[in-house]
Amino acid sequence: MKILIHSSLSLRLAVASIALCLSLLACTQESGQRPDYATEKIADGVYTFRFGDQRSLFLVADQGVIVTDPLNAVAAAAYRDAIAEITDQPVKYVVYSHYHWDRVSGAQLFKDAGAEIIAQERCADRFRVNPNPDVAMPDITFSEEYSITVGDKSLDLFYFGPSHGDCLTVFVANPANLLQVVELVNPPRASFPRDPLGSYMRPHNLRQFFRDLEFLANERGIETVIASSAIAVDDGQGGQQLSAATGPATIIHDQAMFWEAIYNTVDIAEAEGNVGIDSFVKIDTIDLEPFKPYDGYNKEDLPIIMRRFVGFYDMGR
Amino acid sequence: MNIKISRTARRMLAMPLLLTIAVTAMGQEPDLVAISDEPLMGPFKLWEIERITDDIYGFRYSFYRNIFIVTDEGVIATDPLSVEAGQILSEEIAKVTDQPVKYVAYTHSHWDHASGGQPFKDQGAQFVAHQRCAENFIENPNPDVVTPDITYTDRYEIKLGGKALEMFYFGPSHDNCLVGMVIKPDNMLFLADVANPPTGWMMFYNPAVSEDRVWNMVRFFDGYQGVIDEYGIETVIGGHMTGAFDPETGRPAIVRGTTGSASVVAERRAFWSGVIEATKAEIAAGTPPADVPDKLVAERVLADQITGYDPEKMRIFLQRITTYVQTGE
Repeated sequence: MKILIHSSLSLRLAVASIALCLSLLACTQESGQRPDYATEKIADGVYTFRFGDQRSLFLVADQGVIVTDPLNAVAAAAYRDAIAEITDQPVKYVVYSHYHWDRVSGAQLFKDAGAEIIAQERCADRFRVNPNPDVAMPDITFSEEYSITVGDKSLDLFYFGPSHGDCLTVFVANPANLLQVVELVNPPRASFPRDPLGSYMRPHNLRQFFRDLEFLANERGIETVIASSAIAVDDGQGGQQLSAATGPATIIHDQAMFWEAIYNTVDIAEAEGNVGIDSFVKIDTIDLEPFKPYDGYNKEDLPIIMRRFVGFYDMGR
Repeated sequence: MNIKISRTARRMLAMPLLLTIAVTAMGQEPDLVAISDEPLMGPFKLWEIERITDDIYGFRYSFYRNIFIVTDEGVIATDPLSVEAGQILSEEIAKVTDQPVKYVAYTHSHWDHASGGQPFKDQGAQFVAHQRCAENFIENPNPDVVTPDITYTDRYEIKLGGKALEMFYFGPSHDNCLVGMVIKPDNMLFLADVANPPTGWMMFYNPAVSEDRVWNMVRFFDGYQGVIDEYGIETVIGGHMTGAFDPETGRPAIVRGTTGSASVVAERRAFWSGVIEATKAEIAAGTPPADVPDKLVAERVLADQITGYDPEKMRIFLQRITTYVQTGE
C-alpha cells in the first residue's frame, strides 16, 4: 500500500532521532526539542499521525474529522496543525484507545474546539478514580460496541474485555476496512512486548481477547492492520528507516500465537516443576524455538514476561 | 483422601532448603496449639495453628496465613488458602472447638488465598467477599474456589457470638477487591499481601508488583491508616511469613510475621509514596524515563530504609513505578 509522507524533517533525520531514543518519551528529554512528527496517508481519508515513536489514527471526511489517541499535550497541538494542513473540517470526535496517559493526554484542545470524546466505559471509570489534569474526561462511553459516522467515514469500536489494561478498544476504519489494536498488534511483525514486566497485561482474558479479535478480523475480511508505534528497521541497503504504518492482518494471528506460547510454556513449566521459589520459569528449561521468529526476540526477557503468567496461574488474575 | 496439590503448594513443597536465605524464629515465641510433622524451611514446619489471643487463631500453611475466630455461637474463618490447606484447617478447627464454621470471609480473589473452602461450605458456612471478588470469580472461575454468598461494596461486618469482623474497601490495591479485616472487640487488623509485620519496609517479593494497583496504593493505605487512627488499632496480623532484618546476623531473615505493630501500614505507605515521588521528581528534572531506574539505584534512593534492599530488584521495581508515572497504570 502506497504511503505518502509529509514530514517536518527529512526522513533520515527522523529515523536517526528515533533510533537514538527508542524508549518512550526519551526523544523529548534527550534532545530538549519536540520530537519530529509526520502525517502518513494510509487510504482515502485514513491517516496516521506519527509523533516521535507513536502513531495515532485519524479519519478525514467531508463533514468532519475523527481523531483517536491525542498522545500528549505537545503532540496534540502538532496533531491539530497536521490535520489543518489536510482539511478545514472540524474535529468532531476524539476516541481513546485505552486509559494509559501516554496515549490519551492532551485532548482538551480538541474538546475546546467542539469535539466530543468517546471511550469505553471502563476507561471513564479509571479516569474518575485516578484523574490526570492532562486527560480530558470522555463525553460518551460505550460498553461492547460503538460506531461513529462522520460523512462517508466511520470508525467502529469493539471491546473484548481486559487485555492491555482494562478497556483497550479495537478500531475498524470504514469503508477502508482497516483495523488497529493500539499497543497489542503492531506492524511490521508480531513481536515481544516492549515492556517485559507486563504489569498491565490481563492474562485471565488475553486469550479470549485475541480469539474475539481474530473472529472480528475474519468476519470483516480485514487484510491490513495499522500500527500504533514506529520502530527503526533495516532499509535493505545497510541503513535504517522507520517501520511502515501498516502491515498484513496475519500479524494478529502471529501475535496471538506468541502469547499462546507464553501460556503453554508456563503451564508446562509448572507441571514439570521448572518454576523456582521466586516464581520465575527456569530459563534453561524453556523451549526457545517458538519465540525465535518474533521481533525483539530476547531470551533473557522470557522469564520476566512469563513471571506475569506464573502469577496468573497461581492467583487467577 | 484424595488431596489435590495446588501449583503453588507443589512448588513450595518441592523446593530445596534455601541455604542463602537465613531463616529464623526470632521474635516472641508463638503459642502453637498444633503443628505439622512435615518440614518447610529452617525451623518452620509445613503448617501450624497459633493462638494469637484466647479466641483468635492464625493458621499458617507454607508461607500463607489466615485467621479464625472462635465464639460460642460458631467460628468465623478467612481465606482457606488451598484445597489441602482448607482440609487441614477444617480438621484443626474441629480440634479447637465443637462449634461449626459459620462464615468464611475472603480478603481478596487470588486463588492462592481463596481456594479450598469446600469443607466449610459442606458445614453450611456462608462465604463473604467484596462484590468485585465475586465478579472476578465469574470472569475467571476456579472449581476450587467457593463463590461468595454475601457480597458488599464499601463495608461489611460479620457479627457472631460477641465478636465481629469488619471489612472496609478502599479501592483496588493488591488485586482489585482486597479488604483488611478488623477483629472486634480485640481491635486487631488482619491484612493479607499488602503489608505484613514486622516491617512495612520489606523489599517486595515480586518487584514487578504485577498485581498491585500502583495508582491507588497510597490512597488504599491512607484509608486503612484512617481506620487504625479511628479505632486506635495497635496490632496488625499478617497474611504471610515475611522477611525482617535480623540484628544478630546483620542480614534479612525469613520470620513468622504473625503479629506486629500497626505502624507497618504507615511504613508501607511511606515505601510506596517514597518510590513514586522519587520517580516523579527524577522525570520532572529531565531524566529520560528509561534512565530513571538506574539513576535512582546508583543514588541508593531509599536503600538504607528498605529491609532486604537488592539493587536488581529495586531496578525492576523502579521500572514498574516509572511505567505508572508515564501511563497512570
